Amino acid sequence: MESLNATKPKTRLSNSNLLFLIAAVIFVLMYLLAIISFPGSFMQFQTFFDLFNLNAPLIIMTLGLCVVMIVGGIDISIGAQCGLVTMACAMLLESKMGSIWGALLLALGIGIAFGLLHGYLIAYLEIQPFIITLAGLFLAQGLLTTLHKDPINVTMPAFVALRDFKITIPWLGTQNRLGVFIPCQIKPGVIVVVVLVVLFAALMKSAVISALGPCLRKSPVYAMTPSAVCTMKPYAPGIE
Amino acid sequence: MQRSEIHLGLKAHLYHLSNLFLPLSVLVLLIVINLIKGADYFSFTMVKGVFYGNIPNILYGASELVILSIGMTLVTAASRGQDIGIGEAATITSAVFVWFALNAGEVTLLTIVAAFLLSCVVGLVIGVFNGTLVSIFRVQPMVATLILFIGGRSIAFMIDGKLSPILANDISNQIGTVIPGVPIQTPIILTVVFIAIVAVVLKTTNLRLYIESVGINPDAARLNGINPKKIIFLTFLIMGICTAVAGFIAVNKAGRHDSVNLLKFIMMDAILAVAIGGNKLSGGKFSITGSIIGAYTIEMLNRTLLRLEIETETIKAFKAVFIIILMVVGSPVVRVFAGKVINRVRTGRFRSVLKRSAPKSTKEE
Repeated sequence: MESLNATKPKTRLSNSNLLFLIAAVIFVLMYLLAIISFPGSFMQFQTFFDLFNLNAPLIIMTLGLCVVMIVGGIDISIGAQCGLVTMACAMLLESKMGSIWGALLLALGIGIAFGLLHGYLIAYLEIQPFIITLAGLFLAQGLLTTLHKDPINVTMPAFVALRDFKITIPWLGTQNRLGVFIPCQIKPGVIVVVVLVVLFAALMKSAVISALGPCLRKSPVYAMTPSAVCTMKPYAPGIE
Repeated sequence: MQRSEIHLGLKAHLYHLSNLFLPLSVLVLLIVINLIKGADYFSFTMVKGVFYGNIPNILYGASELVILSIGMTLVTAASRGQDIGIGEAATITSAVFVWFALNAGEVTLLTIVAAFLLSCVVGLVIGVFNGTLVSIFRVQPMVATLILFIGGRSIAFMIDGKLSPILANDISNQIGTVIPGVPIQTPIILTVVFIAIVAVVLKTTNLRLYIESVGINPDAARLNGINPKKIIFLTFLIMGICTAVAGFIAVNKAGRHDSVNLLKFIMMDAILAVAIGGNKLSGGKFSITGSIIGAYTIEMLNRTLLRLEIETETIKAFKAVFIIILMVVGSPVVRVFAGKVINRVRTGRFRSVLKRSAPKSTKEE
């Protein structure tokens, strides 16, 4: 029904605002429904934080895709790229010269390389984004299976420590059945998400991208997506 | 005067050809690669009175893709977006087909035809669903069809009731492979018939004009008396028929209805076929011939990579590199640049030739 209103020219809300409103309402409604049906778990703060703990990669990729879509493009290869990045980093970590910082650099490198390829082809050669990123999807999938066919476990101690590292929030938490106070925990990925969201909001406030809109397709802003994608690497589920 | 008219006519003709230049050149390139690999590429073998070989295999393998890319071309041209749920829609229609064929008791030609017609109706229903979302509610096509993309296979599984019901009877076997006495595999014939029907429809009606005008500028089309909503809705209906036919062919080829893997990710290939065919993915003018050639090209590319004995792990990377090169060659910037170079060469030559007769008319273009 609400989307019906969106088509009428007289509505005050702009289309994107309306969609945002719908999404927010749906989120709140679903959360309330979950609280009603599972009051034991969804009333805890930890469950709310787990949304961010588990979905940090998704949020970061959404931010990257957001930039691309504002300038009128699309990137369908981010999932495959993310897979390639995780596999490459996992293999680097498992090898003898593996280090966390090396893996981070490798992740950024792969992401930026894909971004440069896509960005150049789309912005300067004016090829349709869908097709180029489709090719990028195939490329990333092909490279992934070329690197390694089976899932691998990363056993490097420093990485495992980073993966299991959690930040506790001492003043928030719940009492368990025995009456012991359990504080909430967040993963470092959430910090990355928050930093990126703030950066992104600042970028949007400066109105560079949204004001210029389609003109910006001629700029290397396309290169931003995958680099945003790859910062999430240490927390990506593929490595587990 | 007359010369310039001839020149214009020639130019229009060249423009039409240049749309097909990309897919045709790729086709030629692939054929050359295949001929280098083995000179027996075009060889046929007759097995029990039926042609087999590389080319018949490509025509056979690409039949669903060709049909779907025809529908995709129309949807893309009118709605300026792509239908990404075609594989899933075809799975649903073929599930209905299999359900009817298995529950009708004795399988005769009549029940198969009835089942096919029923699956066409289901395809139309899917088209109505997508078309309503896109044209009336103005959801972006890719988002609207994402609904079926996510839910389609579950619906097909529910219709099936079990994993991959088997369609074992003579008639569907003949539709999937060969009819005795006919030297060409049946899916090829069905594809050709479908292409012919589409060609006749486009030739005899104003559909092409309407779709192109809606795709180029919906508001201008509306002011000229064409209802963009109706046209977009219509393209989704045609897409529904296309998915029904493609699902029919696919399920008869496979002999069973695998609701998980049937025509999986075929929308990627279909969109690629549309793009290789020289069509803009942002709507407007379209060339169905190009899309058909593009679809066959993709099938040929897949089979060429297999023929070159590239490892299965790297095959996708090679495909990607090929597509990237292809799109770079066919990109507008490169095309304009090449056009300029050719023009310069041509005008230079023209100037020297025309100097004696008409020195004035050389500076244009």
